[in-house]
Amino acid sequence: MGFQRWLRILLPELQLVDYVQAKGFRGKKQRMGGQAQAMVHPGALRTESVGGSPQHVPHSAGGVGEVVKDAKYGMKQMGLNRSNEELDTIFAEIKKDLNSKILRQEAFIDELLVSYKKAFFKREKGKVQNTILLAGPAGTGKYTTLQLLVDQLYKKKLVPYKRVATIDLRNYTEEDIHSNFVLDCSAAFEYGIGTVCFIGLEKANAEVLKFVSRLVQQGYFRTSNSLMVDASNYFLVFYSDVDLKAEVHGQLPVEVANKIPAPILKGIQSYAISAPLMPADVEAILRGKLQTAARRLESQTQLNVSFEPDVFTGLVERIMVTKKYGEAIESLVEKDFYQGLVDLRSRGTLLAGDFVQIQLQQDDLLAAKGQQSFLLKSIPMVEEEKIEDLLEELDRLTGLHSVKRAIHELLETVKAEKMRQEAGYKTAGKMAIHMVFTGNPGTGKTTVARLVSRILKAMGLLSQGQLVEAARQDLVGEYLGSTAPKTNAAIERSLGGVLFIDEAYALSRDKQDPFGMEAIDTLVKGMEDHRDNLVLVLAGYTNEMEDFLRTNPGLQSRFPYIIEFPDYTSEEMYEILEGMAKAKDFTIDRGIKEQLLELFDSKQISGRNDAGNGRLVRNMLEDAIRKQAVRLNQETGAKDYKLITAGDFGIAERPQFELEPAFENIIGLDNVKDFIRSLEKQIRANEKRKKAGVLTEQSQTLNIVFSGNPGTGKTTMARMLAEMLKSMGLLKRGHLIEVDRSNLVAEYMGQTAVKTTEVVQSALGGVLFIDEAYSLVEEGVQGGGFGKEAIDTLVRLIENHRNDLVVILAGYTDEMEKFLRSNPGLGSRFPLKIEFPDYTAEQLTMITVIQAKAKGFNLNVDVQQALTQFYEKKQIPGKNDSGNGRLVRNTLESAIRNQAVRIVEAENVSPEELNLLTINDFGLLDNQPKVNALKELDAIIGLDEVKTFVRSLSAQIEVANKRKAMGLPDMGAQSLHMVFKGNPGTGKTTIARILARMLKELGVIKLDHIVETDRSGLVAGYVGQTALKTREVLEKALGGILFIDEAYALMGDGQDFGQEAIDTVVKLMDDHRENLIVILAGYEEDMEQLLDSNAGLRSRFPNVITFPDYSVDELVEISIRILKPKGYELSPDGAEALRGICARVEGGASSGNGRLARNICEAAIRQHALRLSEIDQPTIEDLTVLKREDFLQAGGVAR
Amino acid sequence: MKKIIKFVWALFFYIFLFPVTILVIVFGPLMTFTDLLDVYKLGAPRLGMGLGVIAFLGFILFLSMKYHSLSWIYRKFPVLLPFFQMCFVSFIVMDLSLTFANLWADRMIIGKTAAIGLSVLTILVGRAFLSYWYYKYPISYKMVR
Repeated sequence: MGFQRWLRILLPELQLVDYVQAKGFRGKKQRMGGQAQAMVHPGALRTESVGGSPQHVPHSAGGVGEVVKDAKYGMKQMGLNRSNEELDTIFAEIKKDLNSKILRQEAFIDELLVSYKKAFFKREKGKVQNTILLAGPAGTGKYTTLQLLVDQLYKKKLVPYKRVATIDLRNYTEEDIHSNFVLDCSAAFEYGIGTVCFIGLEKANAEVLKFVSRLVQQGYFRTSNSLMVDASNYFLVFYSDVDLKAEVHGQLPVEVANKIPAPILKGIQSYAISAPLMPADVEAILRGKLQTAARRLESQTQLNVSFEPDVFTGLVERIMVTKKYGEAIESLVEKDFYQGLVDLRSRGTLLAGDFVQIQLQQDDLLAAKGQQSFLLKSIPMVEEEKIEDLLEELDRLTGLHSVKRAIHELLETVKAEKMRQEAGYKTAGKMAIHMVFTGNPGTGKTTVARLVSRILKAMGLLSQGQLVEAARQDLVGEYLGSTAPKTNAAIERSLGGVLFIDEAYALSRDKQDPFGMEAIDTLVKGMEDHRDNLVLVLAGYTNEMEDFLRTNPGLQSRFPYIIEFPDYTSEEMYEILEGMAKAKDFTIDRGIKEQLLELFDSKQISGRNDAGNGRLVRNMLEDAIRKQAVRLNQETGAKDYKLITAGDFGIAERPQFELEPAFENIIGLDNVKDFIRSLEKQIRANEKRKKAGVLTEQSQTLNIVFSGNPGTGKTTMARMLAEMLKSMGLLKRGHLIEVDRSNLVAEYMGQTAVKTTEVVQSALGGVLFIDEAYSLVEEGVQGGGFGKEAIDTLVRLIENHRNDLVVILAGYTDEMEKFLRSNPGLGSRFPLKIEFPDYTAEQLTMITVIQAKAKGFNLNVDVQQALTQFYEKKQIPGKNDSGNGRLVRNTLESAIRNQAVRIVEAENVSPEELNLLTINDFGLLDNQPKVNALKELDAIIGLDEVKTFVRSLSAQIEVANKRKAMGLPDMGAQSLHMVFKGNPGTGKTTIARILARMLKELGVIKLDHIVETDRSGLVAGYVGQTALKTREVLEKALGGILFIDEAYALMGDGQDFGQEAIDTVVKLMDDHRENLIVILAGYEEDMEQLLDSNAGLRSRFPNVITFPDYSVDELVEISIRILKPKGYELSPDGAEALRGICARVEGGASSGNGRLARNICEAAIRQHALRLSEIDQPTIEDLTVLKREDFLQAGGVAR
Repeated sequence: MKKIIKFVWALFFYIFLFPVTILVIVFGPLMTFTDLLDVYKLGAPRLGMGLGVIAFLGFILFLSMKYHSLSWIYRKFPVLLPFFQMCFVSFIVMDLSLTFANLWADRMIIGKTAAIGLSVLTILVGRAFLSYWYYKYPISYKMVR
């Protein structure tokens, strides 16, 4: 120390001058000043608090106290200087003392003493005295030796304090570092000299280790809070429990070196390794301790304690297994032996002066007094698990054959490896045994993982064999960058064992998950780094895990064992159930095995993850136990508390499903019933085979297409079918999921498949009913649209789950056929097609009766017949809008409404009539038309030929009806399609209209409506649209008459759409022969051409009626008829003039016939008006009579 | 509001309390030292400040160092802080040694030799404390290890 410094120490005022010289009198700005001052006063850094308080004010407020403390420390230091000779003798004494107290650790004690003595010889002040590593098996007295040593050093005045500060590094978490850890450290290093022992290095936080290693390497560390911890003049001791096989001399064993973090290991200057204890040593220690304790007991509680000789050997055996040696002895003697006896004594069980003998019987440590004995502690022999036991345990697990096979394979490999080694070949090296467990929940993944870790340990592939379970939240951090340390910590924890990551796929749910990715990357790295000491087991659902393994290209290749855990079969589940019941001390009724198997079968639906497998069994058993408890409490008499019966499992005798009663309520649908009957027969047959011992595979594809009009009971039938199939055992749950296009098809690209899959999964075990399935096909959409995606997904899923799912497609017959054609695989997957025919009128009536009854109403006797007639008229085959079953409902409901009005308005209604529906309520009374169409026909002028034909036709039909009524054979429906030939205005439309009414009266057609159309109504503008348009028109006309005017216009060459229209018409005519009458109308020649153009046409229109032009007289007659309702009359000369006009145009093709008459009349009326406007005061006659001049002028106009 | 109160308080402090305190603390040791010499030279007691007054002055000094609003002067002239500390310690020491001197000159409780001895010892201890303190927490760059 130079003169300058000494001067400044003697006269601190000089430092002020220096300060002013260096920095000037006025302070600079704080920020800059801080830096400059830091340079000037490194020691003052610790006080660099911002609060404006100047740098050199120490934290400690008691300046005087601090100085005094420092002085005391200086004094102590002064006293510690000994000469080398003194040191030699002192250490020799200490060694002797330690060896007398700590058994069998001479080498260890030597090393420890040397490492201390070295420091005393060196006499270096202001430095870390020595960094010492204490390692060795637990309970070999390492810490005790250290304490004793420091105690001795204190007594010999070599150290000023006898305290050994211990810092357990495990205790500090990330948050504690800057608070508790630093505080504890500064407290430990407060005295300026001494020994600080660090324990728990292995499990310390990385940040903590960083500080500690700095302490080791530099002798001090600073925290970010500018707190300085200085370890100068200290002995730093690191303590670590390492399991050693044998005594080690002169070198640091690898096991130890592996356990100590590298930066600390670098700084370690001396080490002392304790030797594992031999049984004899343990016995000696134990004997000594026990006897000391016994003496203590004698003096304090006046108990005379003696030991049976074999107590020691027995205890030693048990202690050796734990490998804890001294610690185990300590705890046994202090906690169990001493405390136990003191406890017995204070309870008064043992009295003063009692003679107590300590015995060891089996696993129990007993204190015996006379015949009585008291349990002190039960110490079972904990042994290393033998691989055979573990394998046996594995084999005891139900099912899981693939898992067992993989483990056995692994075992064989290890064995072979060992043999190779013995034979002197090169070893194949450490192999990676990372595994992926895939399977549904409850298939025992965790159980097996735990077992695998133990087996691997027993096989010597893992050092510790612990299982660390982790999930996403244990690996992934809260903020960016915290994931890797967290994951590494998990890896660190599981070193030497198995890291089991459940639901591992959650680590990479989506691509935009940097945390999960980071965790995966860290895991991959950790796997590679600790290949020989870590087994990673990932578990999760099969599909998700496959996706997961693809997320990182290196992942799949690192897992040589990918083990699929299959769902348990029902047999296996039964086995599990038995095992569980046995463990809980219950027995299961032997006789219900079959039913239980069935029950399991019905719960376990492949493709659904929710059954729960093993967990399902547990839940069922627990449920059964609860039910059994209830049952037992209700029962009287002798109770069997162990037995669980079928009732407890909720297995009631399954009601034999009777088809016929179920069918009773279903009207019609015979083909559906037949199909179900045949199914039932099949099942019966199978039962027979089963009884006879012949086993056949009875799974079959039951996907059905229901085609038919709305309201024909498709949904009802589907629901019933689901139930029936369930009760027949073909379906497991038997629920019906009813969906349509909107449930399957999503709004956005790529969502459809997901949506469809979800729907199908929800339907697994039941029936998926897709209504209006044909709507999935979208015509004219590029690539088929989302509907096609849904269909494709369905086809795939139907195939995958064909044993657990019945799909029913429903829709109109034609559309469904088209739908099945839309996907080539679809038709073959729906082998069953059931056509739901429209209900007949009788069936509808029956349904009405049943429905009315269900609503609490009765039908009057005469109603049924009227209803049948009514329905017959309503129900038009081929026409989809009648509603079938729904028609019944609507009819009935309106009847009920009507009846309500009736009974409220009427007085004196008898109680029976309150729920009686009469024919009146159905509105069927006024259904008989009174006007006779024939009369109307007669009123038409002329057309005698036509009239004759129509009359003959009606006569024929009437006769046919009469024959039918008499029960004579029906001559069958006759073709009534007609061709009306004739010039325009010859009354073709009028006749058709009358014909329609007449035919309806006769009951040939059901509606009296007539649909008039022409080419434009049938032919469309684009290819392929014509047939649709034509069909639409035809369907509208169903039940009535389709009147195609100017039909010849449809005729064209091959390219024309008109031909398509004709073809469509012809086809539908045939299809609906009984419900549709088509009338083609047109000019004679053109119609002839038309009929000739198509070979089949003429034969299909057998009735050709020619409408002749009207004669002059007829035209005059018509004119009079036209004028009469308008209030005009013809004067005789006017009639003459009219006749003249008519005669003039007669015979011309363009005369217009009837229309001509009307035109002339209207023109005449206009002329008449013109004429009259010039007359001032017209008489009534003037106003009503059309005269000759009117017609003459009108004739000119009309022409 | 709080700021204004702080400012007003600081103003009050710096106008009324601080200047007098500083004056006493800075010149107190010198004056006391001359007093001490006078006591031994003349054998007549001199009145010291008394430890109570010093404690009060110390309290004001402490306030000025403790609170940010009051420690303005040290931010402006950092060197004043150790200077005041030294003066204050010296002041205590001087006052103590004057007290010892007065024990002889005023009350005649102890002998002259003992009084001189005690006075000198007190001053030495005080100087030693200062020396050690500024050795431990140096303010001069020349003291840096």
